[in-house]
Amino acid sequence: MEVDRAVKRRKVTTAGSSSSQPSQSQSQSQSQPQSQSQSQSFADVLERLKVNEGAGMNSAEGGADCWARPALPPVDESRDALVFQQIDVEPSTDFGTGAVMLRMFGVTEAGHSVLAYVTDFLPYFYIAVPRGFQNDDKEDFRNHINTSLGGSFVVNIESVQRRNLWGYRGDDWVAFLKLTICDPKTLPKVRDKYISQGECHFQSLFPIGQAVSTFESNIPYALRFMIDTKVVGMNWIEIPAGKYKIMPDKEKHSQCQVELRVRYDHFISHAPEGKWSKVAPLRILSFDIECAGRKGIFPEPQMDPVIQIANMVTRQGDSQPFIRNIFTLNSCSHIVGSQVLSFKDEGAMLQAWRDFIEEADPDVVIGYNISNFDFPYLLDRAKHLKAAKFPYLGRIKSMFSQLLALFVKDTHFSSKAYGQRDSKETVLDGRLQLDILQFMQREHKLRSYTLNSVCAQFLGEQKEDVHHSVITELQNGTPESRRRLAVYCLKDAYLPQRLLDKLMCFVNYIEMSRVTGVPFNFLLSRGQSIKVLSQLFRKANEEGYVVPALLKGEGTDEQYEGATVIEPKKGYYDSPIATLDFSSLYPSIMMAHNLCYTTLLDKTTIDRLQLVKDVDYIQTPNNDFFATTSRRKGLLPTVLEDLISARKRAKADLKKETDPFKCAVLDGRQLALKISANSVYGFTGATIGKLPCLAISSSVTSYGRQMIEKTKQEVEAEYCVANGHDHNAEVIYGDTDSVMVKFGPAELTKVMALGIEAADLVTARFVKPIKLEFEKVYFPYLLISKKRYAGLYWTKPEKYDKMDSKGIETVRRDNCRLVSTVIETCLHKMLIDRDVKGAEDYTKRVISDLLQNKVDMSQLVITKALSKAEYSGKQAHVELAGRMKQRDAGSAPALGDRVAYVIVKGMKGAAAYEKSEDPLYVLENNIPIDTKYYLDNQLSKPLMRIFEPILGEKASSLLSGGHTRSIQIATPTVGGLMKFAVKTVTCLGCKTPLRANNSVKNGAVCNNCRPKTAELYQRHVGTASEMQVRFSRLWTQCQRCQGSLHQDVLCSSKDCPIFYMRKKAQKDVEDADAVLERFDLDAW
Amino acid sequence: MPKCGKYRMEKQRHFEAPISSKDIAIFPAQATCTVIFEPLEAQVHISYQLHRVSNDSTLPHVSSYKHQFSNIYFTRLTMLRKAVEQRAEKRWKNVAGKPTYVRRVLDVVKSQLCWIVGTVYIDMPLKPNVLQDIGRDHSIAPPPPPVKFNSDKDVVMLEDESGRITLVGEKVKVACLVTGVIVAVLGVETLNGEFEAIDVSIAGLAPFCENGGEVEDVMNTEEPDSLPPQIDEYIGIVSGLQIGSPSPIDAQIQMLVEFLVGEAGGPEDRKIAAQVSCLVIAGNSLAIPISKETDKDDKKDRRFKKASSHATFSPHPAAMLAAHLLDLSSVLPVHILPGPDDPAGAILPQQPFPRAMFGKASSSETFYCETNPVWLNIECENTKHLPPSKRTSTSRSKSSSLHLKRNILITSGQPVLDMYKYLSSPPSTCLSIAMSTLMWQHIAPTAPDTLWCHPFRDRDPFVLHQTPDIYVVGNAPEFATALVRSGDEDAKKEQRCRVVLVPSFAETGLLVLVNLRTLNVRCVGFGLEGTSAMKKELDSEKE
Repeated sequence: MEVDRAVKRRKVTTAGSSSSQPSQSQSQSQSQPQSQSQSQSFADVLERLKVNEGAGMNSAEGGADCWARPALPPVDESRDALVFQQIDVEPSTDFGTGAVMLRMFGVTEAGHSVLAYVTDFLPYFYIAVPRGFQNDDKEDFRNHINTSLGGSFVVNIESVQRRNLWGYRGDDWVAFLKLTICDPKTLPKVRDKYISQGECHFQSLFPIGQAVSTFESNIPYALRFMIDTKVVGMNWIEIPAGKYKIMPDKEKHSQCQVELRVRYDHFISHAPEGKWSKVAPLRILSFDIECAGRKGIFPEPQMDPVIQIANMVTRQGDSQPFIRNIFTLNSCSHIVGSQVLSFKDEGAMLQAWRDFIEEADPDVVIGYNISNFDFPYLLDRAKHLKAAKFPYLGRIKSMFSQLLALFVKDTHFSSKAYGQRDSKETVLDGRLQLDILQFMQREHKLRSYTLNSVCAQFLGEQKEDVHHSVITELQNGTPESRRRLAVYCLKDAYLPQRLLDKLMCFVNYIEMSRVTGVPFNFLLSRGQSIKVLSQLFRKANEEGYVVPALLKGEGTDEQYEGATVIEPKKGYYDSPIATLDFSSLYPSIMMAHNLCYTTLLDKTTIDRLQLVKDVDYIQTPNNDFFATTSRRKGLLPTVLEDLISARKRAKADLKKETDPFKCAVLDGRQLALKISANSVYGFTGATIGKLPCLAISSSVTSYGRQMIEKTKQEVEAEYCVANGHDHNAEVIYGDTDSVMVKFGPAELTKVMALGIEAADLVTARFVKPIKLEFEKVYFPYLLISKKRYAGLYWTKPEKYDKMDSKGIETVRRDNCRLVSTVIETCLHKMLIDRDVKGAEDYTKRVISDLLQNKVDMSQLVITKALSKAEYSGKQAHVELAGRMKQRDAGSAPALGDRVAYVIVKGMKGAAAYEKSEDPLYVLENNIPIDTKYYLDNQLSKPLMRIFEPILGEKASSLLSGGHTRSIQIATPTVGGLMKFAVKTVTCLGCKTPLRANNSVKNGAVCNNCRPKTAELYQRHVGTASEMQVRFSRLWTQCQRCQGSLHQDVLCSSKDCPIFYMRKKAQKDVEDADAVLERFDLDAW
Repeated sequence: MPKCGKYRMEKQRHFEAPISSKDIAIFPAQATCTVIFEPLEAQVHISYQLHRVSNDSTLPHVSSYKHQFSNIYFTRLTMLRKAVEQRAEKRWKNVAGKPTYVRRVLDVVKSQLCWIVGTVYIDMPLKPNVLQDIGRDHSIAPPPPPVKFNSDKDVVMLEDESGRITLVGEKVKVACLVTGVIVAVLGVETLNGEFEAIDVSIAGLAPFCENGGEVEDVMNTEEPDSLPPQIDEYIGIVSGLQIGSPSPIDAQIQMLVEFLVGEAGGPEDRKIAAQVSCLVIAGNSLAIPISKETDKDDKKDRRFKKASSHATFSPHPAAMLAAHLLDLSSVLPVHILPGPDDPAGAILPQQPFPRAMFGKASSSETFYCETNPVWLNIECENTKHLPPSKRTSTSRSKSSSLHLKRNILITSGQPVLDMYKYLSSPPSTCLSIAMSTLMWQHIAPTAPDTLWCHPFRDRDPFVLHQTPDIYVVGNAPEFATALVRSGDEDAKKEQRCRVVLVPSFAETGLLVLVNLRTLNVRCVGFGLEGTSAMKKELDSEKE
């Protein structure tokens, strides 16, 4: 058998054996230049990783001998303090007693894994003491609840003095009842069924059938614990000697090296500052799986095997993965720099991979779309194969872990900031997950989120994209073809790690969880509001406030007036436009006017306490009332002040810091602080959130509107000819927190000086800490409409910083690439080259090219994901997928694929969705493109938008001038009339049909054009040459990209700019050659 | 009688073979000189026969681009593997440590001395990258293409069907390799997974054509005294006529034509002319049509539209070329190859010009449109008798006949110029590269990576199955020549291959003549210094 013959001779360390191989005697280390060239194949990169590891240090290929964590030195619990960075906190129960407790996973600085069971922390909530409730009623009340619910749920009731967070009602403390519950799971039962639904009959103290407000009853248990113990996400925990108890090995329930018990009040939680801002050497696993799908069907776990799993494990802070391996089904040729583990049986492979996870014990698992694809697929597949032991991928082992075994649940994520998304969540106990795809979708607005385009965007590399139908062929081939697949798979496992490093995702998220105090896993799975809530709770509890738990369904769709926009004076400004920004406008408004839940007043309270307007309270432009700082300092302003001063500190530290890793941490922190500060306002305005307060959010925006207006007045009043200035300043546009001013002078330096001056002038007129800053000058500036503008961005007079454009179509996905290319080029010509005429000419030329079918197909392709089979409305890509299925079920896009299409000429009046067609089919059959669709539906609007401010009425001439008269339509080879058409060869000179009487047989030209033959030949030969070069360059490029000369290019990446180009080149060059041949046969 | 030629002779360089004084006189370069020829009384008539050895270079009738380039690499490796293996085996059989031959690159065992065979691939960051070109900001003019691709960041790799391995070591650097060459490498895989090369072996010269060389008549050996005068038959090569270029060199071309037709110069010149049995025009006969639009935007326009529909075209250069060809082909066979700047396809092998393009010349039987590269097998035979003064009684009846058969390989220079970009010079020169290609048994290894070529499916037309007797490279930056000898001691006789680099005629005014019998080379220069002055001289000559 082929397979047997090709089994590698190289020794392969099998999974589980961690004995190091004898290091080889002959070591010839050759330092090798490091190049990150694009064309280098991934196999070469793997090799280089190996090189950089340093010869001799690590002798086993792919780090096969260093899977396990460093051995744990003995710990003496009476003498050694234990310090670790906690990475996750989650509720758990004591396996023995069933008592509630928390698991805190962590890693020590030496890289040892720790699991701390935190005991004796019970959840609780508050209710206001009902009128007439006596202090000795507590025990009765407790029994009453327990008996009516049938169980001993309430452990303790305590009377405490607190203040309601919501509203200012004077400074008196109020009595609250703190109900401590035995178990977080029963807390909602007590809360909902009993108290808040008005079913409490205790001594008729509670009004029947009427909701009773509860406080702090809707916060997750783990977060409750973290708030009370001042633990923030990813911070360092120190347990002093003697305060913990190490579990003996036989009682251990996890794979952690240290497992211990500690009381919730017996450890020290270090604030993540100074030396505690470090990060432990966390192990990050990046993995990717490949499945062998069947033709035309997206892989299904019930049918299609997992054939390869590639893994890269990196220590946080290291630049390279120290474990690189791939698990393959069936044999696979050796890959330098990576360990290959081959298996005959898929179940055994999955099992071995699980064992690998156990041994390598990653703290963080990353990958691309692992949450929605890789993990669910692996689990479903294991289930199908009845690999019962497979699902124990978390850190909790033992039979008990079945209760908490890894499972997949569907989550529905909805957030105003991030939009709605359905996703699956796989629970890995004690391991963090960071799906880079989800990160991308959250943090970056991109045209496409495929791994390929993300890499092209951020790493500047194109990635080979192997279609899943080809994967099966490779798998069924030879060990070489499987090796090829393995290299591809390894690359897909490595890229998320590189993205993680490049985009600093991990470090930034660590800092975000530290700043906001939520567990790391919340960052991707929860919205913004939990972060603000966590901060609010921390601050509120410190100051003795209790946070009301609003009942669900209170959310309204009530809209309030948003930010103001000064009506833009559209146009192309060829003089410098200064931009004045309010730095963090909304936070500073909240601070300046002391807007908070705790300062919110209503008329009755004002009357009751006899408060004096503008001394004790203020009235906002939105007609809400808030107490001033003289009565009470608001909580939100305090939170914001802390955030902003912390950011200032971080920025100052950042300037001083030299260590790049610490710089990254600090930069991540200041970014997290900024985002947090800005999200506070949104929290108060989120009507479906935890604690919406429109009085605050509307007041904030109304202040904002007022300030923008005032700034406009001030600036225009101050800088006018009447005041001795050369020009009248003019505010041409203002939005939310910035004002664009045309001061008049044409010199950048003058405008910049005026900008600084004006900013200071206006700042002085506002309450502190509101600050207007002069940030930049746009010159020239193209103002299109609200939120749409572009300009050259200057911060120093010598050289512009960049070209800045807002709201102009460049990233929208339902646009074809042509739109963004044209718009970008036009803007570039207008703003940088200052050549409006050039931009016009360019546009005309593109339109003319488009109409003459000369635009490259990849510029016209539109892609959309086929996410579900049934759409309510007819959509172009869905229709096309259906038609492609009829044509050839094998190559048709399956559910989950992205469908690429172009709009082709259809019947008159056909809807756009009927005219979608597969670009490859279009190329093969010469189907004419509906160029008019592209002109009218894609190009015209954005073009008009940018040209109208400049050309005014004349702009429309761009779309209908003489350049649009010349049209070329391809002659299709299929469909419709073509069945009846007779093909006639026409003269290459004058297009006359060639017949026997006017030309040479199979010739090129008619007799009349014969004198021009040489000229025509020269022209056609020129075309053909260009096609030939194009063909060669494109295909050799793909060969370089795939990293092999001897193997065919398989890549079918629709995101790669040259994919369609190279297909088209193939066809074009054949056509061009065929035309040339006609000259051979002609008489000249 | 000594006769003063009015044509300037260029000094020959890089000769390895002893030069017969009869053949050429050596003069200091740049000197206008007098050439002394001993008059030959013998009147030898040569008939000229042509065989194309193998027409690998012509494309299949229906040219298909469906295949990928991997096929070429696969075929190339298959075709050359054996030769490389054999030579390497011989070379390394006595190396201490008994190196083993590992058939697949990926099967190399760490730290074990072995040798492997595969295709060289050099990763060069400076290679033009079409992705970058596409992604480049359109509003910024593209940077000029690099003169050389090589840099410190280059990585040399050896690849076969199984995979790749990086080659390191001094030997790799000095081996002057380019992408696509098939080599054997002796060495050890280091711990880092690289292959530390100790020695590199290449295919070596392919066997010479069996019927090549001189086939001497039996009679001649019997009577050495009665040898007929040595037949000195020449093949003439020019390249880069560049008719229609902005600075025309029409005068020199006219001189060239007149010289070859035998209308110019003195009797000696005419005699030489008469001995030129065929002319090869190795590419770039026509200049690139100069577009009159100098506007920057329009250039961009061209790039967008690919084929410019309004490229200015003048039919004159082609017509002028056709006229010259007609003149030439009336007196001697003319072979014309397309070159990089010619209106022919851009990819190798370039297909012949359509005959019809050259008007009346196309009907001439001694006018041949060739592919680039092309193999010619030229056979010369003197059929007429010696002049009476030298006749001897014995030889008379037998009418001494002498066969010359020469295998000639001609390219218009693209492969060598492309490879030139891979290698730093010094030490590499175009000549050394051309000689290397013979040793690699492959004339265009960088195709298809950086040299555009047709995606052949089951053949690689650039593999040398046999070593030509004469190997001509057109459009070289300067004239250069060398003899490559077969190194086999056991061969009955030493075989040689003459490598000639022919520079652009438009720039140097050089016609290169290769003696088919001796393989010696001579150059004839046509007035470089001030065209008008030379023309005058020429006129006076005519009188």
